[in-house]
Amino acid sequence: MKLKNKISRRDFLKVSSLAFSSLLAPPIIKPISEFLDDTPNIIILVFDAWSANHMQMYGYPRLTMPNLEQFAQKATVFHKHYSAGTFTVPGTASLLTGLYPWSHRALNLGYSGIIKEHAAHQAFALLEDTHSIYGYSQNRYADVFLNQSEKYLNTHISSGEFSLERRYLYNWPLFKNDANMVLESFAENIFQFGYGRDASLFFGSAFRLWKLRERVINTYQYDDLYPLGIPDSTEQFLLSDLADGLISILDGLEKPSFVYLHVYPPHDPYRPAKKFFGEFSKGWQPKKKPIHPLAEEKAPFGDLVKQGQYYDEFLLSWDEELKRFLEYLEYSGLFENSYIMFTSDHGELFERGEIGHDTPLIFENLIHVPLIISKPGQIEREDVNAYTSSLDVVPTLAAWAGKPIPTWVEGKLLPGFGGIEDPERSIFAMDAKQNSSFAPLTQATISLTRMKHRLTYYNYPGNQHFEFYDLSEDPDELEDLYPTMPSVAKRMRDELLQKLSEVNRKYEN
Amino acid sequence: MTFLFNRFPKREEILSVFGGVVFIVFSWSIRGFLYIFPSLILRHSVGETLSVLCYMLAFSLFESLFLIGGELLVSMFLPRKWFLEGFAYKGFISILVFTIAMIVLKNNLTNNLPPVNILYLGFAIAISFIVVMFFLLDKVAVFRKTLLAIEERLQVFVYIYVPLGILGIVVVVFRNLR
Repeated sequence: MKLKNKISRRDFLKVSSLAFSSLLAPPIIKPISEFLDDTPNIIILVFDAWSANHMQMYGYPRLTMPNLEQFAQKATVFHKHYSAGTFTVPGTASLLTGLYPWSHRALNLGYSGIIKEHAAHQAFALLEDTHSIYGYSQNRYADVFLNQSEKYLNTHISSGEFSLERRYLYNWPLFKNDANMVLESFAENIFQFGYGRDASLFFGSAFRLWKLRERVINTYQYDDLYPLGIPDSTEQFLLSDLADGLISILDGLEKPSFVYLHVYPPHDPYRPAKKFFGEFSKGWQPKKKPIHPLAEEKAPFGDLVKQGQYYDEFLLSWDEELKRFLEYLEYSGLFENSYIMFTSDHGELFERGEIGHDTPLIFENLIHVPLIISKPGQIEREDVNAYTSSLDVVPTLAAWAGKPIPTWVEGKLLPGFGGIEDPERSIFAMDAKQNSSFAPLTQATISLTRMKHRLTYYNYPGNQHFEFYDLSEDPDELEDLYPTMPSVAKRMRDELLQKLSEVNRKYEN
Repeated sequence: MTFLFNRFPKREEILSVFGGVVFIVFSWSIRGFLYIFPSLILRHSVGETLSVLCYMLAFSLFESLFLIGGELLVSMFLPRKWFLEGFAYKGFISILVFTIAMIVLKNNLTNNLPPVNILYLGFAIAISFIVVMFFLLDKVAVFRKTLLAIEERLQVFVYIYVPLGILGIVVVVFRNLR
């Protein structure tokens, strides 16, 4: 049969009418892929420096996050979940890799990321072939890991996308291939904010003056919203803009997607909204704890109480904005077809002379972080009381994506999601910000939590000592039992030292 | 165009001032790099640490060119006697005065914007100081000769720092085009 190689006027009109009707089709007919692919979305929200012990459902007397607690009524709540790191860099790296800091080596406050050996051992690479991947981090120290995973991300939203100002050059498309080095070069060297040591003699000061002027304008404009100043991730932002921004990321998500959203609140500076400022000034007050000899700030108790109060009010302010986000999850249908996880990279301290997390100390409030997971369509709350670690997130993601647990992870599948509760599990956490990433751990604090006990090893030149607490009898960690050397402390010490020697061996030569 | 070229200082004079600019800008940058070096080597490999240095060198070259460009622009628009005549020492002394002003500013700049009046006052003091220096340089020959002698010796830095800056740019371009 000979095919007509010319289109008649009649044929053209027929085809045109079909083309026109196809414009109407998308809202009526769903893409076939949506029927075929039942893989749920995975949405992880990380609130930076969010301590579990500041939420009522974890036993805190103040109701700091009523909307999230309501969400948790239809989710799985983990009661003894611990971060492996005590600040953003190691905490986030462990969350994303399923590795302890001694393995991924993102130890210092900087922009080096995970060592090359483990660069592909992380959540984004794991889900690359099953999910569309979206990444957003408002904290530039966590954005480092997104930069490092750029090739696995379908969409990388810039850290300043929802801020009032843009301070950094690293997320310009021009520098996309070398973002972490640009960040290190410009933010830590060429334009150093606030320290007076910028490597650029003339542009450094000019740039800082221009940015400071921008901040003054913002402050005048939004002064009435935030009595203690505008929320600040080193770029000023409004909580409402942030919540709207998160919604805009989820709006029109391809299915299935893996979305990693790392937001700054409640990280310091604690800037509650006017509506909640002073909300917790009366009523319950925290217990006074002795100043720790290794505390760096040695802040008086009154300051600790005040800052703790602002932190709680900041949480309450963020929760108010979060309400819209949670409602969006509900009416957009994401609640029905997604795993939704809320967690943190580390906690926060308001005790023993320390405010925040820039400290060598390790205590419960600094490493005990919330973990709340809603399964697709979950309608009843479940509670998990077993010890879990931030390392367990990656293996659980693998399971959700129908993949085997990677051999390189040091975490386990979360109980409630196929994992088995292990009552004798050892959970490590560490701070080694003064230690080289390429050297044995000789300037670090390492804690081992196991069977309601915690052993902490302060390993610094000229100050090497252990502390041991019975968390069931003494949850505030006030009585150091190490000098009495109970047998369990000795066993835990041997375990910790053996582990330390094992992880150090690789770096000793 | 002829008007513009007539307002341009001699090539030797530009090179002479550029030597001073390059010396000040690059030396300050290297000082800044050495300050953060101990923390860089804690977390970066040698290659990464050197790449931070390359970004800094590339930026310093850009900053130096911007400053000398600014001086040339000023020489074009100010009356000939004010700046163009004696560009070699006037260009250098004005950069020196602004360097001191910037260091004072840096040491007083915190996370809060200083009062605008103070900034204007500082700027006015720097300009006044430059004017006084210009007057002294025109009148006191020893002062002028000393300054020119220093400048002449600083010219060697053009041949050290500029190639380093170009190398920095090459590394930065290479890293971003990969």
